[in-house]
Amino acid sequence: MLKKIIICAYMLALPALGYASLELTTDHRSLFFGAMRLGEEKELADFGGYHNEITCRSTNGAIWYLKVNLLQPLSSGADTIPAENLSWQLTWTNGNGTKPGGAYTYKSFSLMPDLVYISGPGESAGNGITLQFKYSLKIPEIQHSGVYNATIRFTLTEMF
Amino acid sequence: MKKLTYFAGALLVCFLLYAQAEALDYKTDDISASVEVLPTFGISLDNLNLYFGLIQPGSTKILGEGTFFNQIHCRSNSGRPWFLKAQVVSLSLMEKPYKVPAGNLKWKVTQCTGSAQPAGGYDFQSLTEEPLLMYASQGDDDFGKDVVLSMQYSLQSPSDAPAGTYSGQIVFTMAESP
Repeated sequence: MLKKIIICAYMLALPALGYASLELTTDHRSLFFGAMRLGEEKELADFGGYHNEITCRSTNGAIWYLKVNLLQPLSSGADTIPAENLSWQLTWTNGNGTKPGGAYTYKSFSLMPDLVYISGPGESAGNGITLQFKYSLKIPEIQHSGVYNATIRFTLTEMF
Repeated sequence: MKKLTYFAGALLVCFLLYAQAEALDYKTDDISASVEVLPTFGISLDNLNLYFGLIQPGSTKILGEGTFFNQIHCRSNSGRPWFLKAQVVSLSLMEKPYKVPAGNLKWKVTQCTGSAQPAGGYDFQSLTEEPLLMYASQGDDDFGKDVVLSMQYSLQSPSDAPAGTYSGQIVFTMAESP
């Protein structure tokens, strides 16, 4: 009896490992704001109202959600630009899920992950959900000159 | 032996299911962000002409009495200390050779938005023909803070000054400390 149970479990587990998937792809278009003056504000939305796009795909049938955060503020040596001076906005999606970050309004980045999108009904069957983003940066009035770099992380998580 | 095989098999299935759950837990992708904050270093004055009008010999006239006459804006974000100096370049009678002593022309800072105090405080200071320190930056002044000095000017006409029109220049110099 035990032998049969184990064989069945193998048969269930192995195909699941082979076909169930969770995918997050970006177009890897980096956020290059170029040269900016003190107090200047700039928006990156070069491609018809957006700058880059993220595609999420899941075949597990579970609810998934997308988060975004800064790994560290824009930094140049010991100098940093506050995280809240860099903002993101979801400009378009082909999904019908929830947008807890507020749809189509700018939201400041944070070092803690912020919810961008929660999948809606039928969005865990392998269909790709595309999300387009634009970004905005305001240079503080008091800021050391220099080249500042940061890393933005998108995280796709499933709820089990 | 048979039981051991079943046990090992059960363990393997548990591991595979656990591995599946872990593998599907989350995915991440990173993109980079960059910006160059341009250097700023500059000085500007909002009223360049110190016109004292008519002055009786031996009398004194103040420009900007009560508030200020003009404002000097200094801004630098290089991270290096800077200073502001002033000097007078000959206040002379135009019709014949006669110079008003440089010390008869004075300046006074009435307000300052910088992190430091003006070098001469908030009292009148005599100008000289050599550059005189007005302000030395401190703290946020070196990182782009707009330092505004509101100025008054005073001119005392010498009692023996010949009648006529006098002209001269005040030179303000902003420079980084070497």
